[in-house]
Amino acid sequence: MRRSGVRISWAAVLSVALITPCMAHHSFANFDMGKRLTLHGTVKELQWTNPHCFVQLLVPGADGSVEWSLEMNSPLASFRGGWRPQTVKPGDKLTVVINPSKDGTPSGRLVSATDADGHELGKPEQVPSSSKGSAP
Amino acid sequence: MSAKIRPGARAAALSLALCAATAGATGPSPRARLFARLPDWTGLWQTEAAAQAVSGAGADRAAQGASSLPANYKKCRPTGFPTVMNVPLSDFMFELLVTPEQTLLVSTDGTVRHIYTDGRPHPKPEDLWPTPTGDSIGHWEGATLIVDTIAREPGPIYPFPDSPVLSAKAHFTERIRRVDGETLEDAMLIEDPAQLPRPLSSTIRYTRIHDVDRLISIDCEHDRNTVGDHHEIAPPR
Repeated sequence: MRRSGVRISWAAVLSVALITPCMAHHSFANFDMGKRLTLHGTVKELQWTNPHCFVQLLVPGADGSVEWSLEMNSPLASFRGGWRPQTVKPGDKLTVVINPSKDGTPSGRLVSATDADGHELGKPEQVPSSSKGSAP
Repeated sequence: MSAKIRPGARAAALSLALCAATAGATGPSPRARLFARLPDWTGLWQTEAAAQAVSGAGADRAAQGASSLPANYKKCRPTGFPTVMNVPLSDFMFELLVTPEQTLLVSTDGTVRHIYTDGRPHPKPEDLWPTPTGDSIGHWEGATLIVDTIAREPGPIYPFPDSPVLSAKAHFTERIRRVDGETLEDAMLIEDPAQLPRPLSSTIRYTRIHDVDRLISIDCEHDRNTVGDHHEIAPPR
């Protein structure tokens, strides 16, 4: 039987997912993605945990140090982005750029991190190439 | 007169082949010869969009997208079918195990698809109920796997407000093939006269992953994100 009608592609509809990850574990709406904040601090812990990793960073302030919770991606996604469970250790000095939380709590989304030697951490590894073209 | 093969006859033949293989026959066993006719889909596969989201600008776009989700959005369970075939995130990938009896798809998010290729039909209607992955049977046309899926749980195709909503009567046909050594393709047709004015079609391509050499599951056992009226991060441990 010949199928009638024009077919539309749900993949085409889903192409919006390139900028909207529909399967994210949760929203990042609590972060101000239009704002970037630079912090200098000392690593308390790298929580290499599902669904998302966190860097706990002690940042000195006027009233003593404040512990910031800096959210990353999942361990597997972070791994693919060049991070490893031992990339940072307690006591390491870091400079981080974050998208801070909107509610003013000491938390944010980790955008980038640089160690005391000025090396950016989690540099991307080789990204697989796309389609090699068609064949059979 | 056309001979009709009873459902399961192919499975019985496979069992006999296995018995023959254990009876001390020389040379490749019948089952090994069946394997030899199957395509090699070993490896880990991701959508082309996921490949772009691994790092750099693609990862930033993904994060920007997550920020546009409703603050109370949270989902932490297997995505099910057909969404599992089209997730554009760098930690979503799947592995395919191709055997004579079935092709098994296992995804990092826990979704598992069993596509039976041993000749069995779908269960009778009275023995069938909807599930997140539905019931899939398949057959080979050369190196292309033709998959027929029914009894997928009713609901949206993907968790966006604009998603088409399918009924439990939705019928999915897929043609999965390897385009080249680095590319798989799934051409999918979704038919659901009760819900869709016309069929939906899609061709999704997957690239082979080289920077990860095994499937590592993702879960939410240590989730620090709490979701109520708004979203917040639990205090440090």
